[in-house]
Amino acid sequence: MVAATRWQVEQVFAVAPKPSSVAAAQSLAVPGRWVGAGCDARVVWGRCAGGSAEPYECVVDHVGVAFRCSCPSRVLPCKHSLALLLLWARGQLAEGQAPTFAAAWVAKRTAAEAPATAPAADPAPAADPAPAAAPSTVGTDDGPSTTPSPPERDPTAGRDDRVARMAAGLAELDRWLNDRVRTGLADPALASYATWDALAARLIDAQVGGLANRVRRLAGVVGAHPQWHEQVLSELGVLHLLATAGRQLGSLPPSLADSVAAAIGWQVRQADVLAGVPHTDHWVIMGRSDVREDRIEVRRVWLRGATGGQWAMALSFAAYGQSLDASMVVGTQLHADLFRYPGALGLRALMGRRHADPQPAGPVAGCSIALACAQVGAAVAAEPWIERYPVCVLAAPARAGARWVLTDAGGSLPLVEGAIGVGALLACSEGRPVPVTAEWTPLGLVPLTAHLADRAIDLGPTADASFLAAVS
Amino acid sequence: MIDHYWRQMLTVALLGTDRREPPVPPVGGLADLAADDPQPTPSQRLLQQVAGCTVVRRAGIEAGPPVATVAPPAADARPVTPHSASATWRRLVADWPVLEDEWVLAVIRNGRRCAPDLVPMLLARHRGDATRHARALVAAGPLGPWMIDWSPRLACSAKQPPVAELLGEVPELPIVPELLPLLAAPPTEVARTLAAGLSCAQLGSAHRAVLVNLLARVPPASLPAVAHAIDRVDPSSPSIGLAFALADLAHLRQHMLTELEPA
Repeated sequence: MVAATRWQVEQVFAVAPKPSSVAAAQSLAVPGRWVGAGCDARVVWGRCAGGSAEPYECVVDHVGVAFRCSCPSRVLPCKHSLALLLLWARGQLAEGQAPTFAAAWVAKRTAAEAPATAPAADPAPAADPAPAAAPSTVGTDDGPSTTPSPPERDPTAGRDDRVARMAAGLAELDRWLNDRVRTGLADPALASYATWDALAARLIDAQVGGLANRVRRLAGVVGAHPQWHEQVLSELGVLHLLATAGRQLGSLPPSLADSVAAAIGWQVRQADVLAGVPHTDHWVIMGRSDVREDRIEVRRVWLRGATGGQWAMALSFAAYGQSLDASMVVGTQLHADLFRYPGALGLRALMGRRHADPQPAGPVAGCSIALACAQVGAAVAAEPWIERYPVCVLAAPARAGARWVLTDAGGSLPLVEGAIGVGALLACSEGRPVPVTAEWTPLGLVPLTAHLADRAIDLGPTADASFLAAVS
Repeated sequence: MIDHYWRQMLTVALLGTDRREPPVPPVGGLADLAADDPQPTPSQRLLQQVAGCTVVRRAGIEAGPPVATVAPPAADARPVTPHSASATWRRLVADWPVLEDEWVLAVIRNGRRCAPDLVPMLLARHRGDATRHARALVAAGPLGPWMIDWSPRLACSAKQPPVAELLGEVPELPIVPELLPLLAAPPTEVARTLAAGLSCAQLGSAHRAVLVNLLARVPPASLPAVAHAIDRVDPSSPSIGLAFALADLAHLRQHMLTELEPA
């Protein structure tokens, strides 16, 4: 039996067939709604009172990613399965021995899988890395226990289905993009959120959620500022790039294919990431940034190795009423193992073993503006679709016309207009050069941290406390 | 050249390729891209070039010219509030705003200056209240007016001038007459009265507002005894939730005053 790592909430969201399923599951994801719920290294289970006289019996195989629920829903996975996974992801299920209904289902699955596991052990060809990233979101439901199991399962069937859906979704996206530039950005249809939302919904159906998120974000740009046409056009170009690259994953170099796959929405299982080679260093927590994306808050924590100087990013997610990970505090450093997700830049990482308690970080060095430009340029060249990249510069906030910039003796970079932390950065620095960690975005720099001599000031955008369970 | 090409493409994109043909790419990488991977329709040609041009412009990011730095504010010799006090201020603003006036006054009375990162938030929060804004400016020191120079939206917007006699005092809060004597009572009596009232549910959620006001104004010397007594309220009391909240308030106020003590 494989000892599985507990999923993160984001992975549960990733297997949801549609956003409304997540919303429905949230209301059921409270321990009081369940009887006899528990988990072990293979499955999670529980009984949930529903519309029928008998409670629905629900089991989820979190290793093989399959679902079984006695409810009448045809949606796979159903809200009960998602709710169970959410409870498990939040650590609200006790470990125990599976009840009869769960054990019987697992036994049936194990028997059905036995002949199929041998080919599964054969790794995917290196030239086609995207399928290797697929398992975390490939879900199947082999139906109620009364349905006879197929005699033999093709372990790649789900993956192939998903690849086909994804290719169709990417082709549709490209058609939509062509329509937009054909009719022009002045087309009044662009001002309607429904224009974008309908596409985003179809991209979700095609399981390219990463692109759906970008499309929804873009909808908010239309008319938001005088230069919105330029921003929308750039992003349409990036979407075209991803739609094209996503249909050619097999012909791309492996690390680039991994990056494209991640950008369009393939999820990599945590277990696969944690099985990689750890990158051990004293990781300085350089900055934090919270952003609301659709119905979840996303927290990015930027870390930089004190020894190697390499950047990494830890992500955490919170739906309404949940908490973001507050264990990494800006201005501290952690001696820890990091496991990087595959990709050309390999920024995203999971925190593994922590070798010591967090300590205050020492002095932080910032580079010149010119060097920061070179770093950003190299990162964009490696992954042209990135929307943010961290830099740490030794620079002063200054006024260039109507806009604030970060400047040093060699040059300047604009700060994003209206960025939350600009006022605090000005106050902290009093206009003098200080090491500043910032996120580069196509619209300018977003200041995240001012590293003063005696303290690090967290300036990053903060999640809406009323949305979360607690201020984190 | 690339910027000119981008402008041309933006114009075509605004009008739509049904109305205007995409521009010819300039000689170089973008022209090579068009030649290597010819696209059959004008819209596809434009999308290809927009994608390529976006990548080139972003990857080729260049620093703008250096800008003259701004003159710093006058020096302020007062010690800055400790880093932990900034976190405490954020917490009390979110959970117990009734303590904020006392926090600012404690900073001023103890000869400190407000941590710079809080100054913009403090000024912005109180721009509609002349007295509180004036207090914030004192706590901020020379940094306050300097910030307003650079960010005029931080200036006070209240039409009434600050009330001089209120500047140095915490505002009075409504407290019911029966509880007023507790403001001058010995700490043990305050603690005993509150704990007894909460344990037997004589004080319940209906009294929350006045109890909060009371705890925000009892002499600081009473706080340890009060917090200790409320912490031990009978867990089966219907008022246990209120007791938890009041204990949190008492602990936070005590903590706030301790960390703002003179350096």
